[in-house]
Amino acid sequence: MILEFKNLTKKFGERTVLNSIHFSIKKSEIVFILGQSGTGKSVLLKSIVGLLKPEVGEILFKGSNIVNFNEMQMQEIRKKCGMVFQQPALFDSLTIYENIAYGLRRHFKYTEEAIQDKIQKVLSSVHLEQNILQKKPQQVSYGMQKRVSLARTLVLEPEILLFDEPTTGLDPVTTTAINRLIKEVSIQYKTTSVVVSHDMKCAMDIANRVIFLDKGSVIFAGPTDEIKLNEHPLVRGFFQEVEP
Amino acid sequence: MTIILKRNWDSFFDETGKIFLFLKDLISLTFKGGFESRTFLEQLWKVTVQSLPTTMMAGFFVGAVMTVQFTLQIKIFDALSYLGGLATSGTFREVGPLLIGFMLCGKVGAFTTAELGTMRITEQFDAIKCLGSDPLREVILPRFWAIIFSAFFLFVGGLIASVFGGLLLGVFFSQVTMHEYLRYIPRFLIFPSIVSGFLKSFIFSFTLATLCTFKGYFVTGGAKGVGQAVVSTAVTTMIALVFFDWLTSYLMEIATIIYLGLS
Repeated sequence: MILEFKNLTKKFGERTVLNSIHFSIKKSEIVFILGQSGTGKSVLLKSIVGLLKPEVGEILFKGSNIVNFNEMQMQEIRKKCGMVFQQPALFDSLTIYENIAYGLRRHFKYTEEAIQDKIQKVLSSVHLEQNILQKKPQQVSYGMQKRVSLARTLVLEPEILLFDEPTTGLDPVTTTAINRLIKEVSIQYKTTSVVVSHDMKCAMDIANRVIFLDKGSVIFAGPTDEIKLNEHPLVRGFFQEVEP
Repeated sequence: MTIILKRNWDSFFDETGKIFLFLKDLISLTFKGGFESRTFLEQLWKVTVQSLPTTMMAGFFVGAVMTVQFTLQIKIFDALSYLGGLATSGTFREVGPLLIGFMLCGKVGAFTTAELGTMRITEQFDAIKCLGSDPLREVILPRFWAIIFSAFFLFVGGLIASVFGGLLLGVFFSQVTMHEYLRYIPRFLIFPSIVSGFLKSFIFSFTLATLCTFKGYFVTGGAKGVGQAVVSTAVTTMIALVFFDWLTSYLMEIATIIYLGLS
């Protein structure tokens, strides 16, 4: 197991967002975390990279509990667990080249030539042209910004890719393209991918396993072909989206 | 009513505590490795260039208004020759820094809070953390120091412009000669008055930089939250400026008495 959650609980004030979450993720699999808005999916992802700290429970990354890691130790985890945010979260004052190079310059000590090589490679992986590198993020489309955001994470060659609602705000064509891209890069870079989404169709297409969250608890965890057998109304509701 | 007051009082202390902790982090980061000079210089340039015309204009009119007000008062006593000294001293010590501070609060403070708040809600700070850096060091610290330096020079620039504003109105409105207007300035604008003006300028710059970066960095609640933070920056900073204006005036008054006693 590359990632395990044991009895994970996160509260915001009186409100319990994650309630004794317990599941694990194997190396190289694509796992979709589905559920309604406000069920704690993004909180779960942010807890993995230490942006939020759970009150109770453990997150085991390759067997080590990372919940109580300090900022210095967490930086090592962030090198290995790359996160693609719901928003592209690109830095407006930097060019696209500088945006992609940002993490490389801070996490590693590569030469400028090595950085250029890595950026060129990752750019072709996310199907972007070289000519956008000197542009500012606001000069390219939102779909392209999403790809740049993925490239910025991917260039670090993380072991786990965490996607927080990667297709939010995109048109159906770009949504399909981004979903395909998630599968492609997961295979190409041999990464484990954890995708938080509402998109059941996409989950059925590219995920190996699906985790359903409802009110902070896991109500289903299993392979995609077992979903249709599940009787939980929420799971059925999501499944009807694919097979009405 | 008591409950509401208690809640407000608690949240005031809670917020004040957070501001001091934030400030402590910024100061300790400054001494532990400093900050990115490129962003600092960019921000310094941006803040100064964007706000210089407004500040100079504000300073000019503050000086002009003070001259008009003093003219109406001292004309009765046939003491117009003291106009320049009184107006300049009053502007330097009290009204100038405060009104220029209010102007900067709207211009620099609101802009910085909105910029940082937008970065927060678009998850740019989280991205910076995930990409191996610290948003406090990378984004906040250079802005914080740039605003302090820039705002201080803007204050000084504004105060100098206020002298010209006062002089112009003195000549054209109050009908005093330039020589007459300038003659008593050194007598009224004594050393403690200049120190008071500069000290206030520095304290106001520091307050503005702290509050606008704090409010922007801790924005919650999406676009609405950014709007609320901008308003909160403007209101909180203005209240803080008035408070520090009173405090500095009080302390400087004591210092002036000591200074005059010694000399």
